Amino acid sequence: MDALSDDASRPSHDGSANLLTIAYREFSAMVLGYLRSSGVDDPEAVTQDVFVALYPRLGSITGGADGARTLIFSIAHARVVDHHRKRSRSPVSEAYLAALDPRTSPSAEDEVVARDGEASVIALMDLLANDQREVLALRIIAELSLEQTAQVMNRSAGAIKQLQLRALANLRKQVDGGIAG
Amino acid sequence: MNEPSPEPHVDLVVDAFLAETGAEPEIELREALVQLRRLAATATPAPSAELESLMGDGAPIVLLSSRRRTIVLVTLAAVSVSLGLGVSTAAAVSPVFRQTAEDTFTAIVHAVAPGLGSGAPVPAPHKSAPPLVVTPTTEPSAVPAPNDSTPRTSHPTPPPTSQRGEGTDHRPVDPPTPTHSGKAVHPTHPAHP
Repeated sequence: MDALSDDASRPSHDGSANLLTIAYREFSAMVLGYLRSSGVDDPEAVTQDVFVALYPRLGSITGGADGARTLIFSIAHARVVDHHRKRSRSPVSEAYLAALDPRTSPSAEDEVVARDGEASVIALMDLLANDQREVLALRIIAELSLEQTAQVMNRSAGAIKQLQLRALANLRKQVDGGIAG
Repeated sequence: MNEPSPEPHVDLVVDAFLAETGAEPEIELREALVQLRRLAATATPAPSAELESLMGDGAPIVLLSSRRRTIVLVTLAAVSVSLGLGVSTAAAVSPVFRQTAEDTFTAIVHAVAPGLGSGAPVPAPHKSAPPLVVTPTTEPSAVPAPNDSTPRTSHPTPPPTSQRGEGTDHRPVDPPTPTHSGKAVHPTHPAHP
């Protein structure tokens, strides 16, 4: 039975406001962490955007908390893809950071690992391909299941399985100080 | 005797993922994944003015660290179990944590919007209890960082963006379309002075 087919079941404004508050409280830190790991500019602002975009779609959530989580990270993932697409069109000039340049020294990754954990893991993730970084972030930070990750990334569960194996292999290579293929 | 981990949930998430993938749990790799998971262990960011207006006068946002949120969720889980929610303790450890959070959310969803979501009916929370166990605050943005002695860097760090791997994800960016189109709740901005 489809509960959403009944108009009376739509959350009122107060209900939506409460749902948004709860969703924000439960998931905003995860969304922020996910966006930071993805290298999005101004992840705090994008986090706010994600939940603003969630608001009119609260009534479309099916599947309870699983559905809410999937929808929230679908919106966030779309923002990440948009960000990288936009950046690939118009590269942003940034200050050169020797410590983050894997070409400058074979110990770059070692240095990355040795630095502050948060900055180092963001730098490590930065060395992965976009989809590899995404799959790890969605599985580890967002705690999405294989199937939810497949839904968010619009791929099959089998493809996600393979992708996360490649991501782990690449991450291991980076951590071990190898040169990524 | 094993010393309890200061971040049991982080360990569970990472170990469950490594077990699922069959990857060898090398220390360095595992540590990198733990660090990755810690990115979510920041305090809840203060909502923007626009978000606050959408939230209206609902329950206040309490800036809880992930660790404190876990404590709240675990507490709620105990209450939920006592109410007959029935989280299976026989399930794997990680799914229990996951289920705990999801059941809590589901219960809240049903409490504030009975028709929303799907799945089996969830017992209504105690009448006198608010949806979440929170400490009301009048100025969410002014809430100090939780007294969490865990040395975490919760402040935002500008993400380095150089040398990113080549992108391979160039599919359309639209999130999955809701199954029930036309059911969206259109935001109505409450009149705030």
